[in-house]
Amino acid sequence: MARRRRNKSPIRLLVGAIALFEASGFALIACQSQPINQEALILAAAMPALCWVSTLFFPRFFPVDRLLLALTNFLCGVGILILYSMLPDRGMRQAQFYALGLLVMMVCILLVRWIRSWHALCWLMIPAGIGLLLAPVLFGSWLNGAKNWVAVPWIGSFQPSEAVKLMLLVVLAHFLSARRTLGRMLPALLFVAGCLGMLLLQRDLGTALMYYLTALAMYFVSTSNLPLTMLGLGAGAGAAYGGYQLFGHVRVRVAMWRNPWSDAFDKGFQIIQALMAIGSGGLFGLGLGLGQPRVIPAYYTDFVFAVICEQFGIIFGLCIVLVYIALMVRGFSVALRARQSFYALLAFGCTVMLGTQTFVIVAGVIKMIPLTGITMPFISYGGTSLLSCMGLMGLLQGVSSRVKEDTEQDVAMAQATEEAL
Amino acid sequence: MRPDWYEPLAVAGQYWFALLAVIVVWRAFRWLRADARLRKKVLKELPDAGYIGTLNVLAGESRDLEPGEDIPLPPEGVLGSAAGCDAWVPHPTVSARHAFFQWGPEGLRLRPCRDEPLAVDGRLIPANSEAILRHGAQIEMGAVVLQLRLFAGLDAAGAMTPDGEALLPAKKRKPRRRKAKAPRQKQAPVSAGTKRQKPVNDKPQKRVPPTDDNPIYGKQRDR
Repeated sequence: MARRRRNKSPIRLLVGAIALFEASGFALIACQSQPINQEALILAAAMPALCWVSTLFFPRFFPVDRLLLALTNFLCGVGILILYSMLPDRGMRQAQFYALGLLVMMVCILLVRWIRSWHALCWLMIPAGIGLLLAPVLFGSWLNGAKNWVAVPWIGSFQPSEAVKLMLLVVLAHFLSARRTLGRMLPALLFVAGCLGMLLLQRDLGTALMYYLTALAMYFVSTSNLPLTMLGLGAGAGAAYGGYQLFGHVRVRVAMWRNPWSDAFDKGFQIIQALMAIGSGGLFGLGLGLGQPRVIPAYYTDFVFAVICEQFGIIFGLCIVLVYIALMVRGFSVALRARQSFYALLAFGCTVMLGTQTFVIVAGVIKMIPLTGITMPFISYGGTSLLSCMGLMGLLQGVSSRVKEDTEQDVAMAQATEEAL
Repeated sequence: MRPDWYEPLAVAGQYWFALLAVIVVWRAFRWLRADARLRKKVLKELPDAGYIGTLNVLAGESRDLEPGEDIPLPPEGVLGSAAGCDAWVPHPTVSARHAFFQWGPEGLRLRPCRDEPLAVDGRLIPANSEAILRHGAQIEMGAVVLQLRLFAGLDAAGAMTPDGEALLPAKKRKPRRRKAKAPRQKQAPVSAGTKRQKPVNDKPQKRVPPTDDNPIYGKQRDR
């Protein structure tokens, strides 16, 4: 009995810490105004309850990876809390998308578990993906130097590149697995090229970078062809230089990365404000709901990491980065254990996509690389982004649940062999 | 309107939030470590987990290959002399990517890459066609001769029962609809092939080197 209790404790303490964080955070926000904010109090009860149910109760009936789910809940909780402290309306909206995202995650888990042949679906995804990416080029409007949003009646505006992200992973995993000849891989490679072309037309270079690096990593893992991968990397560097020469806003971003103080009140304003916010937060931050996050441009989307560091401190920001690393370690572990190349590649692709997205935005905010406008997974405001990240996590969880079954069978077999000998 | 006592409360709260974040990270990494230990234990106790059998080298010697050596065989992948191949046969007469293989309900499907010379049981396999291999089949690639040795308990033709009888002819593919109580038995053939099911007599199979009396190949590989 005692042994059983000890085995259960890791998940309980982890989920307990996450639930406490969410409850105390929203309770603090509720006290921010007089009279007490009732809506925040409801969230203070609902968010931990949702976390508890999804991580501890739900896995009894549904095959999910509890660690992945718990960490995803933590990141979503941080995002909703920080958004609600600044913009209550958007925080509530994000909380609704979070609940919807859990449903999307379940659907993706079931898809991975139920679908036996992805071939026909992949051939459908290729034109659908290209069509979705073409929509903003034809019907979208320019926003912050990119044309990557499209307005849909009844739904609102959404970013098709976020949905295509999942399609790209499935298509690449399918065509790069098993018989790895050029002819078999060609549809996937053409699909990647088509997506990159569409993203260049949209001038969404951050997403293009993410797609390209993920596709290249999956190609290398699938074929072990180092010369061709290095050639692809070189071609990517050449394309980046071409983009630098071709697009004015890329040149500006590189210049501001090198020296943001050269134009501190215009072009370099956002990066300087982000750095100042991170610095002013110190190790433990200024306090939830305190500080001046609204001074930073795009404080609830691209620069949300700077706001987190300002309000919660650098130690907390570091913990957030470590949580992403833990997610990635888990993802790679799942990929390594998968028995079929399709599932291994799918898990690897999901992990690389998540890692690339996190690295590009966090490193951009702290001025490690030139800034590109993409969202921080699970945390930044944006329904499409959150849903696609939850879908991505659902694919990973689907593979993980299959791996878990295999491992359990192995353990049972090992125990049976031990008993027999 | 923010009350006066909110600011000291929020400042004090930062230490609390930092502590909770540290606990989350600590527990997550501890979990990952425990998981890695479990994997290590499983690998130690059942080193051939995830493999369907081995390719035993009957002929063909090189710096990295010796006759009698066992090459572990995953359920699907590429057979060749390139280091990245799923089944690695390091011999100068074997192409970098010589053949594709995939485990199916009827046995191991083998298909040459492009027009690489490949023979199964003395019969040449032309390009764009495939051979279905069963337990004991011999593969000839260049100067290398390999023998397929499947693990016992694989639910497919060509695999052996614990009594050494081949499961022939091929079992009919089961319908995809699952029963509620036995979901794993009705999975896709490839994944079903990767699982070593419990033997018919409900006792785990003892893995022993093959003998004339017992043709089941069950020797554990050294890693």
